[in-house]
Amino acid sequence: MADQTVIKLQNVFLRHEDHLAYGPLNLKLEKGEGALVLVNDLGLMRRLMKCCLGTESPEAGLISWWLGAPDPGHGDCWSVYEFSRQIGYIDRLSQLLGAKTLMENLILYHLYAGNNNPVTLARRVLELFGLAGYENLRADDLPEPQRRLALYALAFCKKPRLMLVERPAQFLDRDFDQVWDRVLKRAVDSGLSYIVFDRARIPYNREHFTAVHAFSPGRL
Amino acid sequence: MRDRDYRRVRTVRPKAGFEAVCGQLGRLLLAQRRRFVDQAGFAGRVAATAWRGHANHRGLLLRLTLTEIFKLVRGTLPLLILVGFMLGFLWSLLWFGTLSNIGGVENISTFLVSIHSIQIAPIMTTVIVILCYGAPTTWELGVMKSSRQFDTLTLMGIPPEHFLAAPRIAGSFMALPVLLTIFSLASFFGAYYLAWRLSGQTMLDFVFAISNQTGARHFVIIGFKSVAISLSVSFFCVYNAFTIEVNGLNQGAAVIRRAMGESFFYSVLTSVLVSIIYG
Repeated sequence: MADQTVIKLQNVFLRHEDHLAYGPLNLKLEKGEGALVLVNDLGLMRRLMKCCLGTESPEAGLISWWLGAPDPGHGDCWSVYEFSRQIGYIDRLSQLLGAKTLMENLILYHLYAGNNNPVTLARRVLELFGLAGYENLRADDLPEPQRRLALYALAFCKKPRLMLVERPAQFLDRDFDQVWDRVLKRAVDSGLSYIVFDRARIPYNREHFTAVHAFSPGRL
Repeated sequence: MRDRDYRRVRTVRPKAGFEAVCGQLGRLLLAQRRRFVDQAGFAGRVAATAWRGHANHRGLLLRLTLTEIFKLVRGTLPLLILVGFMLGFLWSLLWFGTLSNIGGVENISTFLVSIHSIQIAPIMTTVIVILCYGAPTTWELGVMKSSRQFDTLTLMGIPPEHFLAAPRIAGSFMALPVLLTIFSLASFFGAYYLAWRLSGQTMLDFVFAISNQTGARHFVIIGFKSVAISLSVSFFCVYNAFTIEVNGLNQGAAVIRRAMGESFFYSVLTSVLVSIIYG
């Protein structure tokens, strides 16, 4: 079903260290599906994520989105924000608004997503992510695993159609598996597609992903 | 020999008078043109994103603006009242002491209305607002920018200009007329306090003397000056914070210095222009 396709990558190549080409990557993601992309190099991983986000271009290949928003670069500055609101993007360098509490962060993002009852929704998201005791802590004071979870919670607030996640198991503790299962089940139920970028598939439950792609050195 | 040749070729006859001033000004403008264009673009982005999007965004903008007004008032009000009172006290001391032979009681109300509240109070308020609100705002935004919080906002689909710049500019735009009025009232009170101690002048007399000197023109000038000052201070403080690079916290001191310098320069420039136009 072409109308259910969210993102499609065709023969995507990325150059690495001036002499190496990674690719090709062919990936077609339908609504409610998940994919795991294995990339060995972290810098390359983030570049691939930026390409999927639309802020960078790959060296070769084509990336298409069906997100119900104009493509980035085809409009004024506001259209870029309209587009990026459809994609949840969590990488290693993402930060919360440090001076505000977790609850304030969540309410802010809910308001921006156009949700009219931000407090109720924020509490629901806190329960979903197992952050119920942390809502009044400043974001700078949160422990690292909870801060990472809070970033996912923020990304879920705006109800994106596609989620790009970098190495979600990196900072999280052993309760992560339960939370992650719950979150992904909820995500698939609500029709969210997601791409998880990581270096190995070990921490993940295989049934969360319809496809596993290796982004490895290839020939252009 | 080569040095002398070089000097002969490069020697330029120094310009004098109007020509020299124009040359310096032109050179300055050429050096700053990229920055002016960038500032204009930033102002355009702030204006473009301020009223776009969902209705919730406007409500949020109002809420953030109120928060900024609270921060601005809480930061500046004690110093404004203290400095205003002391300055009024000082003027009163001068007019009753050193300058008593040229007027004393009658002239202090004229001075307070025509010189102090129109010319001096805006400058003093500017300095206090820059020190107590502008520089901390620049630092706060700079830390957010350099620690990638702006990046996350952008990637989440929230324009930082809307969320971080517009409330600060709007907040100071709304609060500064009130702060300026409070500063003037504090200095009137300080002046009256000494007048009452020295000459036993009643409050009613003092109020009548002030009101006799005051006209609609004064309120217009103070209003225009407060608009000009608030926009100058908030815009340049916020803009300079937005120019900090990611992981560039070592630029902090230079950026704050530039923000304070630009804010003060443009505030004084605009208030002098208002004085010239309406004076």
